[in-house]
Amino acid sequence: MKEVLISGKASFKIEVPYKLYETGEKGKKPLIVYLHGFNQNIDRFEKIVNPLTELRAYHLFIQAPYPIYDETRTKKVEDWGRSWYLYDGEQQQFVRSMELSSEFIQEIIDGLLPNIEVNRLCLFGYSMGGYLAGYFMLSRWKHVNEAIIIGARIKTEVFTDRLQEAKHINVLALHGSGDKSVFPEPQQKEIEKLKNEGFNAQFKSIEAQHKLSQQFIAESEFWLKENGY
Amino acid sequence: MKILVVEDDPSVRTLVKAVLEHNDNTVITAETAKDGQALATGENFEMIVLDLGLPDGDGYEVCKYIRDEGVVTPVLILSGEQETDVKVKCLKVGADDYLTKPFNTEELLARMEAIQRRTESSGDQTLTCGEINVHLLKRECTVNDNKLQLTNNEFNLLVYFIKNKNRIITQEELAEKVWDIHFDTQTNYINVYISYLRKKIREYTETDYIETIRKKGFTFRCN
Repeated sequence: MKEVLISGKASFKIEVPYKLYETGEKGKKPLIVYLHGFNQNIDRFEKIVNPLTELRAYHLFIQAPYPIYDETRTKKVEDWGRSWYLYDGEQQQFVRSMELSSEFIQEIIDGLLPNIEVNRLCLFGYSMGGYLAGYFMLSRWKHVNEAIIIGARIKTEVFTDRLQEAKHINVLALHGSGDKSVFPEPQQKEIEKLKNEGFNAQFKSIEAQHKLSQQFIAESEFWLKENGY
Repeated sequence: MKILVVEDDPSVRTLVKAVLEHNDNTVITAETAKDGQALATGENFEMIVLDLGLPDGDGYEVCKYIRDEGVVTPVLILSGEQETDVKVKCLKVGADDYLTKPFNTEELLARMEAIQRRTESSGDQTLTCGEINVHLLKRECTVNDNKLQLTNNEFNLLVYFIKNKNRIITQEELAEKVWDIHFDTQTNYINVYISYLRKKIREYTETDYIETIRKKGFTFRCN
């Protein structure tokens, strides 16, 4: 007969890279936090969003914590894609996992703030990183000023009671009209909901699919400039 | 900093108070949810440290209540629970951060410092309209540098006006967006609040910012 003597949970340490760049003159400026999509990593993401890093700001690239095994067995571990959260379709698990990653992001930002002069915080999230940006923005509403969310949906249902307080956040949602991975309509509805709550929120449909093309980057850059970046 | 500590356990309360006072803070304490709510909504604090388990209610209710009352003071919740679900619940009711008991005092101070720094770095949470300045998170308003004493409803009304400046806003829109009332109450409460607000602003300026547009509504003029 076998008997469980002890069962528990222990933390396992994974080192996750992040990079902070500074562009433009010294002094107080915005911090833009970039959150990549599923199976991407910071090196690849940095290249795609490169035009945005010309804006005068601090640019923080954080890699998602969970590695995705490379089934082709051709890539080194550091080149594997990463995931921001564990999702099995169950909503509570989804939220829990997004919270863990949000805490992780917050911890990195908290560690940087004593050393840099930040006057605004902008989140830039694509796909899975966009879902997370939406969660971060509503859970940490006080500390976010702008959010650009591409090819994702803001899960407003998680923070229904906080929408009134969060309406100082300026939101740009960009979505490919032909996006078959994350359909545009639900995000469009979320943006309408935010607008009705008094947010300065905008939904823009781009003639594209789910892939993060340069059109999305150009629109983001234009919007950020309009918002004083 | 002026800090409110809401904690029923005398040993934790005394310890937290002593640590915070030792670090040059002024600390007011409350032992119950009811007293905590009254203090948090009645006085101005720069930080609230809130226990989850209180004898007459829980910290979630207190936090939700004070947020619903329009208080945006940072709230750090203390709890013996470690689960992420508890943290999510704290964030849902509007808390800023969460610390698991037992904690060491350095961790407490570091968390509070981090919360403050985040608030500073999110920067310009202000609205300006002519001589009027509104700080959204501190919920403070000044006219020509004179601080206005506004009630929560007056503050929310002013913010809505400034965010929607220079356009006609109907009574129905104000009822819905500021008071969340979606039916005709058959009372003139909106006019009453507008007259209060107008009076308080006019105390420090010659400009009449709120223009009444007959049979249509109001316009908040910002040039």
